[in-house]
Amino acid sequence: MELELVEVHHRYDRSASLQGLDLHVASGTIHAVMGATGCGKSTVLRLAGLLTKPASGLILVDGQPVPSRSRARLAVRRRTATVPQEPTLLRGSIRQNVGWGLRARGIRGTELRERTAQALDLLQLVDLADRRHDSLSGGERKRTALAAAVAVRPDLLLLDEPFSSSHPSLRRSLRELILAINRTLGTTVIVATHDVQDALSLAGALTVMDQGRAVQAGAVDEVLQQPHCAFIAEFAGTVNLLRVTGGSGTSCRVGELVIQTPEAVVPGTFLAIPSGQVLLGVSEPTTSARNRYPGHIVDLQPFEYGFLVTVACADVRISAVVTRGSVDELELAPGREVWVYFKVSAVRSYL
Amino acid sequence: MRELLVEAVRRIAALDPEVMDITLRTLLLSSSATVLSCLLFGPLAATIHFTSFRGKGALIGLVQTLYSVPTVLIGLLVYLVLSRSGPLGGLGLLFTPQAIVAGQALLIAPVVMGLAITTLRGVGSGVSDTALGLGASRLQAALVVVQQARHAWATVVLMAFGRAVSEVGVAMMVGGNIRGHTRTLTTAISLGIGRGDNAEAVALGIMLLVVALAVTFLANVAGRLSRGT
Repeated sequence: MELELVEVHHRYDRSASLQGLDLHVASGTIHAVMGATGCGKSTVLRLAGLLTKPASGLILVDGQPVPSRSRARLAVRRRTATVPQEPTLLRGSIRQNVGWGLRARGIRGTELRERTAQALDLLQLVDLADRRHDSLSGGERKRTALAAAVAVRPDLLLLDEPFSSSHPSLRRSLRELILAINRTLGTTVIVATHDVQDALSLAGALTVMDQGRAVQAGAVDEVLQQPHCAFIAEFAGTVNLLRVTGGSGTSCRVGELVIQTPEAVVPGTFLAIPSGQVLLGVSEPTTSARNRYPGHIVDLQPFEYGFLVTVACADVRISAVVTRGSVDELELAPGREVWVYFKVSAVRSYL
Repeated sequence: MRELLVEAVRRIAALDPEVMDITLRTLLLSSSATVLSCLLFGPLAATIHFTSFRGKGALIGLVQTLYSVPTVLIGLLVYLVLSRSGPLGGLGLLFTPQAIVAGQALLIAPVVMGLAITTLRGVGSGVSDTALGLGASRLQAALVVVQQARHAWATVVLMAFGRAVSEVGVAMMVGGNIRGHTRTLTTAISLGIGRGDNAEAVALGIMLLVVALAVTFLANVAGRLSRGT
């Protein structure tokens, strides 16, 4: 399902939440909408899920404006399913919650039971199926809400911060599940997130929002590697994104550098190294960090609580967040020769 | 005083026909008024809650202000409407049980509407959003919200019934306190004192107190159930 928001304005109470937003989500893709808290991400999902109408602007589904007549609008809305950031479950068992969207569509009997059971199985909720709605943890509630959304087999799945309140192993299985739904069923997915890693791990396309507007959109790696403004740079600056060009196993090549990774990667994979986990020294480090490269500083910018220092290591640029005190102590400045080093465990890979 | 109480209790224990007749009629009339009011004004309250329009907040504020409208004012209003020269005078309903039911239904309408809106608000937008997000129609989503608050509805009904059963103005003005026809607990207590039959007045007062306490107890139980405790 292709979705387009054109010049959309929206207000909550008296404050503007969207100010002329343009968004294009291609059919069958996973599209991340990223931005700081309060930038309007959740509003985008509400509009995309036709849960609310924009004050002005157009919403196009498969190239056609969304009908205003309630029956026709409902038919379009039933092609979508929304999983909010903090899902509210309805009174009843988990099984009843998962089958709720199907019953709302008039599906009963064997089909209802089978599709509910499939969704429960997919989200590993079979053991919890007969538990009450108010006896679940935050992560279990989220899985239940996702199962209910998956059960209706939507053309467009809208996920608001899908990984919040999920522990790392669940995070990984949820991510794989969302990718599988997208690949096998061709479901278009929009993910609202404030986390660069979430966007990287899931989405092919990214729209970055700031104060109700889209400030940059495109392929995830393009947006993060070539930010158009300081706001995106700040988001992207929290992570070094490097594309693997060669090598094998856990020893891969990025340009002229050889980087050790915690798991085997193949060329084309992205390595993400948080800038906060990259360290700088003026001499070769004596620590156990296996990734260590000499280079020279090419840029030094104020960033959050210190500076974002960019170092050219051969033909690869790596950024590190350094405190103001360290900058003074090490006399860091553009052109200064330094060593960049980080642990293998700091490296994440995304295909 | 002690003799009065003993005589009152004796009449209740002996299932005095007059006391029992008045008590049952009161329960029947106030129950009917509560059902009628809930059927008419409950859906109206839901419509106000689920729709957006200019002045909605002011309207809800007005409804809540009318919680404590004096019962004699409603009695007077219904009297004027049902009296021979009133717009509905031709129906001949004045001084009938139906008039009491209509008057009490009108009296408790603000309570039914105000508490219903508060109950629906209490469910929160999350339930409605969940239902809509899974493909519910607006009506289906509204019904889910109503269903989620099912225990709280008992509180609404009991509070409305409590207001109806304890009022005197409407029953007296449009019922006329006719023996065996429109006499209720409150009007009969008033009459009993007036004619010096204090024992009957106290016996009826005890019955009214029992009904009021039972309503309060049930409302508390319903409230606890709605909070899931």
